[in-house]
Amino acid sequence: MYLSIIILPLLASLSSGLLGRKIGTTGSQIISCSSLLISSILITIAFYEVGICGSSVKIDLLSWLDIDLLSISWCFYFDQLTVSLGLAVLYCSTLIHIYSIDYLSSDPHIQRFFSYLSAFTAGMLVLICGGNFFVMFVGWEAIGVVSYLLINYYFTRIQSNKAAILAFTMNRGGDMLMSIGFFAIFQTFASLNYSEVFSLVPYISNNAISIIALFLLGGALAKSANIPLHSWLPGSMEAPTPVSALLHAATLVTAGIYLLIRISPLLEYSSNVLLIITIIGSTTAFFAATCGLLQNDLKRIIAFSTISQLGYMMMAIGLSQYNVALMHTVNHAFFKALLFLGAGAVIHSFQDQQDVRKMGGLINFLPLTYTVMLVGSLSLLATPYLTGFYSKDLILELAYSQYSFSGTYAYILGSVTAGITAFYSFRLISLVFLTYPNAPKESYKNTHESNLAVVLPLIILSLFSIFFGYIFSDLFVGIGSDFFKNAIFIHPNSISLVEAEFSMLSNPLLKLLPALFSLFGMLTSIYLYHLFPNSLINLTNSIPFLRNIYKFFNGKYYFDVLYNQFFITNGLKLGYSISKELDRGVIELLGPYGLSKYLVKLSNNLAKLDTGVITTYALYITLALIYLIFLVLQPVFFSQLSEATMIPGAWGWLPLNTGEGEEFRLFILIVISSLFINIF
Amino acid sequence: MAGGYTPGFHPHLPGRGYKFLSQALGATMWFFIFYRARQDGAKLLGFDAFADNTHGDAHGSHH
Repeated sequence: MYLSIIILPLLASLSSGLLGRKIGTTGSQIISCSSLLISSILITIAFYEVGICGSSVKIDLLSWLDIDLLSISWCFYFDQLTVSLGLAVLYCSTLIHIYSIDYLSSDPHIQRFFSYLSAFTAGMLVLICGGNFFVMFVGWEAIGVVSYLLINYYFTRIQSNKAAILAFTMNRGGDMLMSIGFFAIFQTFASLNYSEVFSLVPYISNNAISIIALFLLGGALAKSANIPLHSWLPGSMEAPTPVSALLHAATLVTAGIYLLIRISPLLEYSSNVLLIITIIGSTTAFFAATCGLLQNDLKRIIAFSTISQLGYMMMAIGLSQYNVALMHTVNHAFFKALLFLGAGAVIHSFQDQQDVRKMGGLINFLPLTYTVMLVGSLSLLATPYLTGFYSKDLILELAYSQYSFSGTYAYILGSVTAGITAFYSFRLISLVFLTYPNAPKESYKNTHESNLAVVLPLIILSLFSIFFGYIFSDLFVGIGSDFFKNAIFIHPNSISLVEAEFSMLSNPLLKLLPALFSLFGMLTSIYLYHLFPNSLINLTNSIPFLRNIYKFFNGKYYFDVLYNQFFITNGLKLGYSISKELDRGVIELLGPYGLSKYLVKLSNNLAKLDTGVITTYALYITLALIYLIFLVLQPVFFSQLSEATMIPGAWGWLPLNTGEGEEFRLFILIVISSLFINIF
Repeated sequence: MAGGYTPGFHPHLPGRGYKFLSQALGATMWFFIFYRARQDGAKLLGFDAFADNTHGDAHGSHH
C-alpha cells in the first residue's frame, strides 16, 4: 500500500507521457486523476496508521550502491512528518489535477501537461518519503527538472523560457551547496541514512554540525525562495495557473522547509545556524510582504505572499518550533492553493487579464470565486479560528516568548508583516471584486463562473481553509501532544510552547497586536482602494517621498536590477571569458591553430636568414662556432664557475655538480638554442 | 438564423446554484468564526486563559 502512494502518480505520468497518443486526452485525464485520487485515499489510510496510531513504516526496497565505505539503498520511510506533509501534497495535487481538466481543456498538449503534473507529484513524494539523504536528493532533483518543464510549459514564449532558466539555475546553485552538505555528512558520519546520522549528532563537534547545517540551509533557501535566492519565484508565474498552485502551495517551495524540519536533530545542535534561519525568515517575511504590497499582477501578488509565508515557516524553524512550521506548511498549502486556483478562475473567465488595475466589480459576475478568494485571504491573514490562525498566530507568540534578540526581531517583523499581508490581500479583493469596473465592457460580456471541475476543488479547498486548522491544531501543536514522536527533535532547552501560551497574559495587547495590525491593514486597504480610490493617486502625486516609496516597493527593492547589474552581467562576462580565453583559447593556442601559426612563423624566420650577403654568412659561421665551443666546454665552464665563487648562496640554486643537473644543462641549451633561432 | 444583434449590455450573470453555493460557503465561514469566538473568544482576548473550553461548555466551570 505504501509504495503504491508513490508509484501510482509515477505510472500515471508515464502513461500520459509515453502513451499519450494511444490513450488520448480524456484517457490521460482519467488515468491521472484516478491515480492521484487513489493515492490520496491511501495517504489518508497511511496518516491514520502512521500518524494517529503511531506505527512508522520503513521499506528497504533494494540495494543501490554497496561499496566498502558507502552503502545506499532505495529506502522509503513513512513517519509522522512524511504522512502529514504527504497529506497536503496529495490532496492539493489531486484537486489541481481535477481543476486542470477544465482549465486547460482547449490546450493541444494536455497529455504532456498531465504527465508533468503527475511526475512532479511523484518526485515530491520520493523526496518526502526517502529514507536517506540520497533518495531524498533524487526526489529533490526530480522536482527541480520537472519544475523547469512545467514553468516552461508554454515553451514558445520567451518570458516562460527566461523564468524557467532563472528558476532552474538559481535552484542549481542551492543544490550545489546542498550536495556539498551531503558530502560533508558522509565525511563526518560515514553514512547517509537518517537514523544513523541523527543518532550520532550529539557526539559530533558543533562546528562540523554547523557547517553541514549551513550547506543544507543553502539548498533550502533556494528551493523555498528565501532571501537572497528568492527572485525565481515571482518570475515562475509565467507557468499556467494550476502549475503555480502546485509548485508554490504544497510542493516545490515546501521542499526546503521539509529538508530543514527533517534535519531538526542537526539544527538543534547548531544554535548559530538557528539564529541565521530566524533572521533570514523574518527578513524574508517582511521583505516579500512589502514587495507584494504594490504589485499589479494578480498572480505575482499571491507569489510574494507565498514568499512571505515561507519566511514565517523559516522563522518557526529558527525558533526550533518544527511542529508549528510543519503545521503552517500544511495550512499554507490549502489556503494558498485555493488563492491560486481562485486567481486562475478569475483570469480564465476574464479574457486572461492579470492586471488588477484593469479589473473591478467582478463580485456580481463571479460570486462564488469571490467567496473562495475571501475565504483564502482571511485564512492567509490569520483571521481568528480560520486555518491560518492556528499556526501563524502561534509562530508570533512563540517568537515573543523566546526573550532573545532573534525572537523579538521575529515578533516585531512578523507582526508588522501580518498587517501588510492584510493590506495586500484586501487590496487584491478590492481591486478585483469590489471597486468600480475598470475594464472595457467587452471583458465583462463574456465573464462567467467556471464549471464543476473548477468549482469542486475550490469548494473543497475552502472547507480545508476554514476547518483544517481547528481540527488538527491540537494534534500538531497542542501542548503535550506526542504526535510527532521521533520524526522531529526539539531540544528540551528550546521547548517554549507553555511559555508562549502564558507569557502574554500579563499584556494581552501584545497577543492581539498582530490581529490589530491585520485589522488596520484591512481597513486601510478597503479605504484606499475601494471607498476612495483616488486618494492614493493624489497622495503619491503630491508627495514625492511617497512616490519614491511606491516605486521602491513596486520595483521589489530593485533586487532584480542589482542581480542583473552585478551578478548576471558579470557572470555572463566571466562565462564568456572562460569559454573564449580559457577553454577555446587554450585549445586554439596550444592546439592545431597555434602550432601551425608557429611553424609558419618559424619557416618565415628561417627563410629570412638566406640574405645572399657573404658577410652575413660569415657571421652565421662565427656564431655557430662559438655555440659549438660553448656546447663542448660548458661542463668544464659551469663546474669551474661554481668552485670559483665558493659561495653556496650565489650558485647554490643551480644543481650543476650533481647528476640531477644534467636536465638543467639540457634546459639551458634548449633556451640558448631557441634564442639563436628566434634572433635570426 | 437564430436571433440577431441585440443592443445593450448582456453579461452572463451567475446562476442560482453559484449564488447559493457562494452564500452557503460564506455563511459557513462566518458562522464558524463567530461560533468559535463564542466558545474561545474570552481565551483569545486573555480574559479566561485557563478555562478548558474544548468540550463546548461556554459557561465555564461552576465548581
